[in-house]
Amino acid sequence: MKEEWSFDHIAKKSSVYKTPEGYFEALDESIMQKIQSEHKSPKIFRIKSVQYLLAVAAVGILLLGTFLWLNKQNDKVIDSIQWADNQLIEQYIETNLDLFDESLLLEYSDNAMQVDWIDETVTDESLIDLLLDEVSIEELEALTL
Amino acid sequence: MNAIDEVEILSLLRNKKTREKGFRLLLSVYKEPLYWHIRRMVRWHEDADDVLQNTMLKIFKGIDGFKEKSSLYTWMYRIASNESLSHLRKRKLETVDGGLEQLEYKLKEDPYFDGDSAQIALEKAMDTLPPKQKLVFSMRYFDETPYEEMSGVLKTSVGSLKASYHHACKKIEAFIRKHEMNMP
Repeated sequence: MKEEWSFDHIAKKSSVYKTPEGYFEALDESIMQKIQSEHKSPKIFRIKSVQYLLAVAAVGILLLGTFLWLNKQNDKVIDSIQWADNQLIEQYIETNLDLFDESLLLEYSDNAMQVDWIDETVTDESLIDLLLDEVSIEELEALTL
Repeated sequence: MNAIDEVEILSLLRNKKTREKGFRLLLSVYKEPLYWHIRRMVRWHEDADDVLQNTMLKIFKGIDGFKEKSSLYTWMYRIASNESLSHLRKRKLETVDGGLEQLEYKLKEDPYFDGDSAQIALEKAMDTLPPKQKLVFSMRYFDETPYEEMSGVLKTSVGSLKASYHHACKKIEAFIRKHEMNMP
């Protein structure tokens, strides 16, 4: 089997791979440049993050301002609605009071008339009947004694 | 690679004033071995250049966090290996079906690849390996890296590295027997 193919057929060293001419000579500089630009980048990032923060703050202030302004507007609207409401109620009462008032008063007075059961005279008989219904003779005797 | 270099480079890197000088020294010593390590993994020069630049940036940024639990060389190889692996995983997601024919075509067209049909076959076979197995294979086969050293770089036990290499060789042999019988 091994005579058909073995790893020995393959040139071991990585001679199959080539690099562009002067690659290694230029490599140091390109890597150093990359490192230096990366090294400066934190500063850029900081400036950027400050800008970012400012932008966020500005948006925040804008939102807060808008909110407050809208709130004020809302208050005005509510005030005017309340004012309009009061006006309306007053107007309504003024125009509808007579009718409303009379029928309501009548109803109330009718009810008031019916409360005169208090005036019902309590006779001795009725009282005795009530007592006999509710209380036993023994109790009555005890009471009278 | 060279212990004296490492000590010198590290002491230069640890001082803010000499850091740039130290890094330039590091580049002069390690850029080529790291490049070839990456290149064998990612195959294309442009990709290797990208991965190497990222690796170097990570080394520069991470040097303060390097606790010298391993040698500088091992630590840098680990970063390069991880960068290569993540590059390959990203690449794998991008590759479409019929990739192997396209790979052969691309290799033949590539001005920075100069291999015979056996080497193209090996490239294709290696492309079928999972990224980590490919890494183990390439470190062992091309660089003849000792297992102990690989173990430090890849944070994997010697036993599983040996098994991984063995698997990779079997897969490559099987692939080439199956697909590329017209070998020289």
